[in-house]
Amino acid sequence: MKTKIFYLSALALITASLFTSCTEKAVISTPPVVVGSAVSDASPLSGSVKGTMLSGKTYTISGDITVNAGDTLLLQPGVTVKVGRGKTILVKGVFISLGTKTSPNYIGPDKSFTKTDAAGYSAAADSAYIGYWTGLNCESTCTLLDLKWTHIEYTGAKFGATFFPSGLSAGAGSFGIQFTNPNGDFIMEDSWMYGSIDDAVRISTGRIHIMRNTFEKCGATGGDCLNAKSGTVGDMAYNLFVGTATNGTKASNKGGVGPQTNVNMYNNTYISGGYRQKAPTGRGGSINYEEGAKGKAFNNLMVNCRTGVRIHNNPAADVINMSYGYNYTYGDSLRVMNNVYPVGASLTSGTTSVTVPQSTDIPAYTALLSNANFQQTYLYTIVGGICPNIVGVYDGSAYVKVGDPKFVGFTLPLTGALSSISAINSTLNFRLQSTSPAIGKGTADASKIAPLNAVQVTNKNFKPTEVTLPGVDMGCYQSNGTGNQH
Amino acid sequence: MILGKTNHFKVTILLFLLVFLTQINATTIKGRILDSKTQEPLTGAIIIDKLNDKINDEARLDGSYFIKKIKPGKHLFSIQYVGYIKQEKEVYVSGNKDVVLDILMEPRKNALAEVQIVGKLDKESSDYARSSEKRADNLLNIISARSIQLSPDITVANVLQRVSGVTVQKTSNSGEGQYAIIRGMDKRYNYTLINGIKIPSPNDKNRYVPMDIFPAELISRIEVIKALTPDMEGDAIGGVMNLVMKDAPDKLLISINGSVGYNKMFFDRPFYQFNTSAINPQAPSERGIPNASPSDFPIQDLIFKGIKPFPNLNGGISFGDRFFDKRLGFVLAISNQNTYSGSDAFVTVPRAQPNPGTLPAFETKENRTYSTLQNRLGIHNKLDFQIDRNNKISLYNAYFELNKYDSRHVDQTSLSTGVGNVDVYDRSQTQLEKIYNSTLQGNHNLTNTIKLDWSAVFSKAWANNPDEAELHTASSDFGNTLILNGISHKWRNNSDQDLAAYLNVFWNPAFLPKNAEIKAGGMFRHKTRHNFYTEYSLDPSPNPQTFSTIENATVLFSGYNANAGSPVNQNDYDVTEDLMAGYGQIKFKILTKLNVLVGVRVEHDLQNYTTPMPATFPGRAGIIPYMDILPSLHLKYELSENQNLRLSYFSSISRPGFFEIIPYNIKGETFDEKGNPNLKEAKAANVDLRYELFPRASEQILVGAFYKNIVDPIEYSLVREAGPSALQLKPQNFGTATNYGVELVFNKYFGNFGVSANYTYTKSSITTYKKTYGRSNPADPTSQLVTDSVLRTRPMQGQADHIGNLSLLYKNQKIGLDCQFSLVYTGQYISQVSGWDGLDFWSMPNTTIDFSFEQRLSKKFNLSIFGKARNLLNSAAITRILKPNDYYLPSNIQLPQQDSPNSIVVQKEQYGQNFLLGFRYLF
Repeated sequence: MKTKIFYLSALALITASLFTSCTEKAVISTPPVVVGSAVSDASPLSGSVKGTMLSGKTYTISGDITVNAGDTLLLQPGVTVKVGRGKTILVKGVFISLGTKTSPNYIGPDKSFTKTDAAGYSAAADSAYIGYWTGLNCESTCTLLDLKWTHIEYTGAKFGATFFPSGLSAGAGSFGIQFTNPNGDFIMEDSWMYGSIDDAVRISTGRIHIMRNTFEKCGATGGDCLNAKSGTVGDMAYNLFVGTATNGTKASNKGGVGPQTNVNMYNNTYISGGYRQKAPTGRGGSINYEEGAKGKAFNNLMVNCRTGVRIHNNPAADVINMSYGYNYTYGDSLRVMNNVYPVGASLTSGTTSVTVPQSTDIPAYTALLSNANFQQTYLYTIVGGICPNIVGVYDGSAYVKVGDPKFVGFTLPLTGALSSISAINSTLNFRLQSTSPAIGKGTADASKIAPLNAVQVTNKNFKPTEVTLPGVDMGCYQSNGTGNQH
Repeated sequence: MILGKTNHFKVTILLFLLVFLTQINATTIKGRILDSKTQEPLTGAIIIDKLNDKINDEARLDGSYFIKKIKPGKHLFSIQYVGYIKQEKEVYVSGNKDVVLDILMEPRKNALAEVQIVGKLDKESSDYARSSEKRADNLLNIISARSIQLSPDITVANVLQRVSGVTVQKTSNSGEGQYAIIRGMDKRYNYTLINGIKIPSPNDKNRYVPMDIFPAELISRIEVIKALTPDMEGDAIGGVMNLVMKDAPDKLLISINGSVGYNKMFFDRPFYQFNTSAINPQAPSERGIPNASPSDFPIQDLIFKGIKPFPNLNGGISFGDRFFDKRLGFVLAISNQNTYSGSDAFVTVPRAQPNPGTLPAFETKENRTYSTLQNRLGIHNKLDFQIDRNNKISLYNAYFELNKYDSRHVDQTSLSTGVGNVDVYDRSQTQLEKIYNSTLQGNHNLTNTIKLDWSAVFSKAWANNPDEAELHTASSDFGNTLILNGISHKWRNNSDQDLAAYLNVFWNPAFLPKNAEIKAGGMFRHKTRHNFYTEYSLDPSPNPQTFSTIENATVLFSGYNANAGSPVNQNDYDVTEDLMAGYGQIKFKILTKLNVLVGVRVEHDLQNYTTPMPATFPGRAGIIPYMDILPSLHLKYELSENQNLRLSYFSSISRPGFFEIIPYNIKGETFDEKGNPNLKEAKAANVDLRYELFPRASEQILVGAFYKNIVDPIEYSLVREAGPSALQLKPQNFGTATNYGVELVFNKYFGNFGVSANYTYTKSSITTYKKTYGRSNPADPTSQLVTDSVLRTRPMQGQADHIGNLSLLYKNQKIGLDCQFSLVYTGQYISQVSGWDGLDFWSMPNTTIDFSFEQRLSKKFNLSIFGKARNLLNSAAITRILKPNDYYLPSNIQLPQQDSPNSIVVQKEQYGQNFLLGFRYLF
């Protein structure tokens, strides 16, 4: 499939520019990880559940289930969990899903849907936005949510009449995953999320490691893929976001819990984000920092997103303590290229930002680099906690359809609406061709960008399998084979 | 029918001119008509010249009378006053010489003493009010029916603001007073009585009663009791409002009044009306539709039409008489008020989290337009029967209803994310509130020294908010194109029922001095409370959908179970409360001038709540007991016949609201909100000192001071519960609060003119945690942005430092004119406590001026015309955050309505002037 095509093309094009030596890893078998006793698959599950779901088995959740505080539910590789309509997985303890590349896990509806991923398919009729179940809801007592090579699909149902997380009520909408413990760890690696109503992942607070995942069709009429609030510290890297309603990655320090939100976003690829906002609220379409959040954003690749990196002015991000650059933008419309640095309310977009154009960005908006109204000293002026000097209107027409990043399977310029791409259908592949102008243009300079490596899990079975360092190829796929493995 | 402001003034000026002209004269006979014993002026006593047999004058407020242009020669004057022996005086008037003649009247003591239906004192007069204040064992302020009738106010809430130390919280949709704050103590610290019986509240969460439900004209007098005696329920720290309803009169009395009025606001803008007949009284789930469909929700209540409203119509009728040798008394009074009011408001909504440095930050700015139709109905009826000279029984029934139909239009503009985004909310709200009370009461003289009274009470309050519907549309291009965002429908209703019994025994044993009295008694009340809540949200389909009109909007239930409403939620709850109380007190006089009242009260309260939450929900149900022992001591030292010095101490409590103790956990607008089953009752020690001087009846000078020490006051504050979780707004007991102040009351009459003034200074302080948000090291701009907390001392919510009232009265009995000009000043107070340091909302000092008059048209038919003009200044109610105003700087993002670099205007409301003109007819 896609992966095979890539390896074939990678083999065919042996490049001498690869400095990193690719040593084959020895694979030595380890016994399957077990906690507690095995969960029975003999009858559908409901109520409190703990123990181990065994490889190869299929479990059905017919009622709402709770992993109690102190308990652990572990999914061995190759487990399928089918969740009934509107049902909730409430995690007060620990939830671990140890899928592998060869035996991924699946958590989703107990029935199958026909995926309608053809470009331009009507969002109103798309099964991705049905909101079938309420996702993984972690309470503040959940110390670890660990997802590896796991599919999570069709989330976003409203909570049922008698079962909902603390602080919510019957009928409230759900996220795909919610994590709420500032002293807990949330690991998500090499996993897939497909279809949600609101945010796919809401990190209310917590230490995070979110790397090499793929997100498609997240948010029906609003919602981000990864939405981090106060007390979130960690990395969002090498993720692929296709057709997100609003942002791919967002960080805010709203909420007053835990340490200041600090998220590094690097080597992510964002395709056609930001076009399903019911009332375009002025929010972004790719990367967003706001309300006291800080972090670093480097080596990201944005194609046809509604806005580029958005450093919000009000409520202002912690502008003086953040940095960004080496980000690559491609746009087929003037609208996109006029919002590489999101502009103010004088345009109908209503987006406001104080994103400072960087000379390392591709394309480099040379005219802006020398314009006093686009300098850090001007844009980062703080009055009453707000940055009142916002990015003003500029002309990006010279950059429209310029700098095709040359994807393996995505022909640009795009024919059709920019919003028509919302999932990876059989023809799409967002790996870079060897001739891509995005290759080698990023930075691996640890003084500029390095992972925060915030999670504190030490158990070898559960800790992150790999903290992938920033790579010089922009976006989530590296020509040396590292990065996103999907 | 509609009188403008200018017309009113013309009428008034004309009337004043008339008055001054008639007072120019040459030969006169003048003097004062007084009670022979007490020297109290007998206002309203008539003096008739027998020679022409017509009333020549009536005694004024200070008892004076005045007969001009009298012919020289012999005159025979007849002087009459209800309850006094008629006198005749022969006077010889010679030439141009003025005659001064004071007349002392003898009360008709024995006239009706046999059946003890005294009642000859006009209990609705101001004189009676003053003398009651003077005689009372404890501290109270009284407003008489006559004062109410003459005042510009039509609801009890608005009357209350005339009482010293009372401020009234206004509703934002009409500007009408609603809740009373007594001596800076918020509404939760006060309770309401009808004829001395506590009544339940239609409020869905709390105990306090909205005072705007009571039409003022049914009230005989309003007592604000500021010091509790042991025979009173102990859960008031600020004070108690007792509404004494009209008694059966001594003879046939029929009165009718009717008036029309208008709010000037609706000359300037339309009143927005919706079709109230479309409102479904029950939610689909209550009607047996477990899974609703969009067609179950009518759209008529979301169609708003701008109209010129009908004039406001008020009317009242009262009938009373005595039968069977005056042993059976009956009174029935009905009052109905139909009022169109409104408000135009500017509001900014603060963001959940301030900017770093705990600087104010705003989410949106809003313009709100309210149009409210209020229909207020009050019916009261009393039957009393004197069985024999020792036994009396009475049955009292009261029913009050306040129906509010409120439409609200909000234009909301984003101030942060998404500049240019406009959200529009159109809401129709129907609020139906009812209170019913039925009290059967007996008074018995068992022996010469033992008396008892008992009451059996059934009382119930309801509130019903059927189908609160809201249409939400939005625009991302400054309002040029609107899209449909959703429609919601909520049903809420609650009821609160009391069954209560009271027993009081009075004993004047022979071994105690003559005036001494031992009183003991108890009470039991069983309360059942029920709350129902459900909410339905309809989403656009297709989504997104351009919005044109509500008729063209298409919606559906999206999401699983959405069509079931919210069958399980924490706003659905049931409470029962059993209160048992007993007390004993003794009253005696020592050292000839010192009155002592001392006693103790014990209250045991058991609250039992249940919610429909699942068994897994912590605190799904609970039983909470409270037990309090409340001693008190009241001393009154009679410095002289007309001077008292009072000192009192009492302890009292304030129990948590019904909803507060339920461990609800709701995602609020800014913070998560959490209930607190561990909430204790607030306990207060109260000390009062007051000097009273009553120069004459109707006149008084009171100077007082009070001090309150409140342990465990209940305040809402942010907490971070043990363990990792978010900030939560939770009612909590907060250490110790203090509240002290000074009160001055002054009433004085000069002939036809009167001045009534009061002033209260209050200072309270409470120390709570407030959150801060900023750099962990303010000197280091690279340090972490952290949320922390600090202890801060502030005044209690609702406590204004200065409160003043001034009324100027003109009363000419002869031409039958009463005029009153009233001014209320309320100093600044915290209207909304913020969880963040320094971001409290402060309501700014406010002055309102009202004017009223009543002119007798015909003596023969007892017909008079009256007018009330309210809120003449139409002064804006302004709320501010007292922080430097960065939004005033030209360099910053601008907020509208700002006028100062030193504080931020966050709310500004205007309610318009109200005019009322009517007729009163007494048979």
